[in-house]
Amino acid sequence: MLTAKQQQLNDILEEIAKSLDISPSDFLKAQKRYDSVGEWIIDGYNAGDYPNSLCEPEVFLQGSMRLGTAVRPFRDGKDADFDIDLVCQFAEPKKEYNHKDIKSQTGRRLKNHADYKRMLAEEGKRCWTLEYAEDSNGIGFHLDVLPCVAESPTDISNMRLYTSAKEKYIIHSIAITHKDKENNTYSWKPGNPKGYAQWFDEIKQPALNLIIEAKSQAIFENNREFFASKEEVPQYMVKTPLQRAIQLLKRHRDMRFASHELGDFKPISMIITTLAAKVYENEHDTLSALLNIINTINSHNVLLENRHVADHSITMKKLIEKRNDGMWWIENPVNPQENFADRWHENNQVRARAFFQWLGWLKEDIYTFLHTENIVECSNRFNECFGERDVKKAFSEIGSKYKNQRNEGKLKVNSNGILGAEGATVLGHTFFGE
Amino acid sequence: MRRSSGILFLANSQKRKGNINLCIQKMYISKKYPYAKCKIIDMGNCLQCNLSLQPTALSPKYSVKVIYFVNSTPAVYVRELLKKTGLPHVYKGNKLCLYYPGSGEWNHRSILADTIIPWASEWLFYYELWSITGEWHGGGKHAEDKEAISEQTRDK
Repeated sequence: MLTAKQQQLNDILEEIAKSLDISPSDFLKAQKRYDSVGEWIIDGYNAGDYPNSLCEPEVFLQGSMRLGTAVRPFRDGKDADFDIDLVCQFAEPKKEYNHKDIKSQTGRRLKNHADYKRMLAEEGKRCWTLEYAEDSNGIGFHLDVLPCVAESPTDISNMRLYTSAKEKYIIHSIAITHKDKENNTYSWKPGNPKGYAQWFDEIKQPALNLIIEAKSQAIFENNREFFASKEEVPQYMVKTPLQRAIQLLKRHRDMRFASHELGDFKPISMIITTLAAKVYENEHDTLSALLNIINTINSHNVLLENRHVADHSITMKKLIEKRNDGMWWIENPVNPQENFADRWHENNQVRARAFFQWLGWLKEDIYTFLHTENIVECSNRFNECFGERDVKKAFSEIGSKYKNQRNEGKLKVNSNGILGAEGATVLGHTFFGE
Repeated sequence: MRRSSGILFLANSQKRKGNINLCIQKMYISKKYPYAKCKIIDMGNCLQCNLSLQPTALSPKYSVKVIYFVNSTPAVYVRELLKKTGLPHVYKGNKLCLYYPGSGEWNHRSILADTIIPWASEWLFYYELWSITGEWHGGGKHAEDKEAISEQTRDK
């Protein structure tokens, strides 16, 4: 049970996460763009643009849009575009040297479309990127197209035999092309975005089941111009406390590391998302999820000094390890051979140090909020952590909510003056004045 | 010391028929806000209340004073804000403006504990949001609106 202070802080944090998230109307816009590009890529098969494919490619969404953890990125001190990550899996076998062809045929197909040709950026290491112009509301997008093929049966077999990877995930393994820009050579890298998304969905499902009815209804009511009924609201739009916690963590990281000397070594989103999901214990509110994540992961900071994490119930979860060879390990839950912390040992452990520094800031910030006795004075700290624009938006939304509640006769006040759900009803009135 | 809250005095000082007796107002306030300190002064003509209101669990406690003369309208002041300038929805002297005059939202039959005091808490809530966002989110009207409205009704 949350105390009154915790409940209120939770409400503020959830509202901030909502402000940071992609709005329903922008999400639908992103979806339309994704669908158009996807269709164009799929039609390339019938147009004969993929001579070695056995059938149409499969197109699917990955990344934070797929997981429901997107926040507007903050780079170089300002808001950057939302990322849409599209995976294009060709129906071709993985061969020793066809990585370059896979990548090129994707680029060629995109350039065959007059608009996409114009929007296409220079070839990336793994993707082709389409840059969309900023809309009137100042929101920009870019869409990364990631060409790949299914992982070879031999490699999957090896995973099955020699690792503890679960069957239900490894069957989705893919081989991604990787371009070494300096030498202009290509290689294969392993990946499993579908498996990862499935793992993540399984973790958030219980919480989602609890809230989906009520939250779909609320989204429908606030966005009637886009949906005819509650049933039309896509499940992706309903966010659980785990997702909200991840959004806040990512944004906090972006804000706290902006113009910081350790900024280049800030933790990657994959690490934040994976650790948060591994720790999540089905908390029903964002604040509790955050506190659990912060405290559990912070206990690993002893590893910096090569000491051991004392609590066995925590080490069992295999969150962050430091192995005998001095390598830090954060295992990909769907591919135990992949290590998200493979660069943490470099440069005198600078990335590891940056990670725990960030956790320290996070803990201090959250505990300051929790113990504040003056929300106005504290608002500056909220601004530092999450960005002034989105914090203001969040508080404005809270103001509107309370006003609507009062107008509907649902706002109450208790004997200390605290407004909320308890006490006597606040009667309708109109503020006046000069 | 003469006791000034005798019923006789109060009965004589009620000039308007149907007013809620100050004693009863005081009773309701004490019941709903047990920490409030109320007294009836000025020969039974005035109810003065000092209480602390905290609009949200993360807010400070504000020292609020309510002064209600029997033939006037209740005046509400917040000690911590008396010296501030540029506050929204206040009258001169930073008296809080909590209802639309003449609208019947508040009248002399209203119970202060059910109207003015909760509205003061609400005012503080929106004051805090205004300090953070720069906007007043509680709705409301301004003096220019009242003039415009009374002009419209005159022209009809």
